[in-house]
Amino acid sequence: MGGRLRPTELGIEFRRRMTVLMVGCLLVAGAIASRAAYIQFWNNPRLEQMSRKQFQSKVLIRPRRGVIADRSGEPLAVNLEANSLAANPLKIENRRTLIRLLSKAMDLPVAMVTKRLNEKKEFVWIKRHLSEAEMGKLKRFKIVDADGDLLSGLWMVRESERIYPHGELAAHTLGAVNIDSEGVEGVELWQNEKMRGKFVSVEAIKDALGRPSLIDAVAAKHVEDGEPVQLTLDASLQYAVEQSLRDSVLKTGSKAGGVVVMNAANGEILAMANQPAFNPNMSGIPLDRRRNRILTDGYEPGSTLKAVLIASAMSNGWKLTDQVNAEHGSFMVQGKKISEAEVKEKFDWINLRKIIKHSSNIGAAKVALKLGADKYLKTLKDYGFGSKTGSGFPGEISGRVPARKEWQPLTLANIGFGQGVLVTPMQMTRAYASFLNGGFLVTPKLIKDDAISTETPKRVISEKVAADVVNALLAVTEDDGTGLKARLDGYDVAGKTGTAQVVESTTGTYSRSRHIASFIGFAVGVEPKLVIFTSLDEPKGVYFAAETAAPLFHDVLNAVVNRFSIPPRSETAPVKLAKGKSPHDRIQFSQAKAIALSAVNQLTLPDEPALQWQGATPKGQMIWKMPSLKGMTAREAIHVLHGHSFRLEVRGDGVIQNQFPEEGKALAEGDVVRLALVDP
Amino acid sequence: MFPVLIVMAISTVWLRLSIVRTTYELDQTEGMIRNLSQERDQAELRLTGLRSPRRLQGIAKIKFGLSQPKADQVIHLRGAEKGIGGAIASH
Repeated sequence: MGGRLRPTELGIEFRRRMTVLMVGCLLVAGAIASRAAYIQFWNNPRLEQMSRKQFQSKVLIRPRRGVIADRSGEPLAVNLEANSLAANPLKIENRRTLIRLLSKAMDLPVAMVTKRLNEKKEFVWIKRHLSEAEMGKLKRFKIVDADGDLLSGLWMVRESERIYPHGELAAHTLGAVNIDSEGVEGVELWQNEKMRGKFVSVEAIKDALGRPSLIDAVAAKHVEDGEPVQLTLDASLQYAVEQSLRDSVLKTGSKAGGVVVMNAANGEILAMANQPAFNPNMSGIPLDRRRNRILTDGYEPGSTLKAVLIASAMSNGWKLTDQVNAEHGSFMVQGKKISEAEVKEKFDWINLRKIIKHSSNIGAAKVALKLGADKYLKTLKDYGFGSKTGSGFPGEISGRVPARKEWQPLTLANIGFGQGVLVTPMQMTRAYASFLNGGFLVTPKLIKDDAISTETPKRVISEKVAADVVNALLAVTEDDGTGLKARLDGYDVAGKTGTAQVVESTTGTYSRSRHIASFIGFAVGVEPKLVIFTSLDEPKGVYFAAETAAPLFHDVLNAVVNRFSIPPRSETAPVKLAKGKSPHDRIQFSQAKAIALSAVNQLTLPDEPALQWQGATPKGQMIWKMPSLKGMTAREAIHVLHGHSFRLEVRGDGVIQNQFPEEGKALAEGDVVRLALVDP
Repeated sequence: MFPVLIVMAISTVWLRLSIVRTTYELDQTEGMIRNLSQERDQAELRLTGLRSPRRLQGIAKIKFGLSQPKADQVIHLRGAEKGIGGAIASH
């Protein structure tokens, strides 16, 4: 047995070994196949998760953010697609060269790009919201090729970017969004939930570089775009107001300024401007510049609060003709001297109307002392001082009215002429709105909705008292009143100046050199009823409101009457455009009296055809030869026809295509002139 | 049995390829829609810029030499008022 195996035995042994090997291989293969089958067909959450992670990812689909528009639908905040550069650091090639090029193309520090590309993640942002110039550089450096493909490990993500097409216009009201288009300030923050829409997270299949490629389109359809927001602001008026404010701030050397235009009937804010201004499309603007001071800053109102004092007094039985002794310019309360704003002013007996007209501090202090703290405090509280106005604007402050227990006689006297309380410009604006609207305290409205509010505004003073206060405020713009420069020719302007000292934060005392000048007022007897607030912070040189805020008010009122076509009282009947369904109706509506030639002034246009006199009827009615008005705008035609009692009917927009009567035909005073306009 | 399996396999592969092709087509179409939408947004933005009060004022002042009208130079067209939002009509 110990000898060598014979060939037959060798063959048997070989076959046996081969059989064992084959069986072994089959067993291993079977085991592998069984394991593969097990993995394939039996549920294994852990393996499933690993598999999903390898080729699937979640992608957050962002909806389009709702636009913000003005009351006429003019867009103030819109969205544009922007390119953002992202990378998968694990797939980056030629790392050092790429870091250098990216840093140069996007003006980023090399250290920052290096840090981002060295992260052990599959996704990092390199830079978001690239500019056109940055995209150009990426193409020049061959990081992006002509087809838009990027180097290995990089990809471009399309995102939405918020754009404010009018730049600085209403910037303080609109606010801002962050890089993810989430509102962080102003209306953007306030209406964020409404404008942001519904986000959806969907499954996506990753490509070889880990980029999401195929997205679950059905799930992506569940994205809901944000709703638009319409403001009560009027973009054209807002622009005019901002221009006036900017000019005024520059002219007076003021540190800041603010203007509000509010509809006294319903509280709608038509314009709200702040200086200094900023462009919301730029980043890195300091917070101090971005603040909407109209709502977020308080100030001591000074003499503008005297109108509220007078309203309080008259609500408690006083009359405009009631007098107090103004002590000839000097009055002591609790050992402190109260004097008039201007030393030269020395009044003896002075009535309520004159207290407003001449802005007598001592007169106001005396009225407050006689009225008593309880009654005056109640009026201030009724007017909402010390509470938010309910505008809803983020960051709005309440202001401060001292608690009753803090009211000493000196406190009462001081608050009588507007010192010792902290109010916001918006609170003051709506207080004055109550004088104009017959005594109602309206809630400021910045968001326009078509729903008719059934809520009746709170009545704070009677209609009679409101009318009396307006009467007193009218005196301010009389020849010897403090608000003479607020006057606008052709309009009855009521309002009040206020020049308040600023409290020094370091000493807690009133500054002798820093003031806030303001004027609040309105045009009386016109529609719509609009209240205007103007203020300038720390004007240089002549700081009195009469010389600073009042002229600003004048400019803003001029812009308002032009914008809303508010005719002056001196104007004879304005040209009235015919309206109505039938031609007959339109003619009936066209019973317009002519505007006086003098009212138009030197606005005659070059080569303007003139009316030629043809004669007169037996009744003395003038007859004219109808000129050709074809090709003119309606405005130009009105210039030709004004000064006569023609009844004007205008249809369409653009330039005149047809006219009645035809050129050369007779046209008598009182006749109908029909003009058909078409777009040129 | 074998031919049935072959047909089923080919059908499955064909179906899968069709799905992939259609998905790519959808993706391309959506990309096109997105591009057109972006172009529209940019056109609207440009339009808004063209009618911005700042630009119009600049043109009125520089190109046409116009200035703000005085109160007595304005003709008020009562019929053109549209509530508070109404402007001086283009007429």
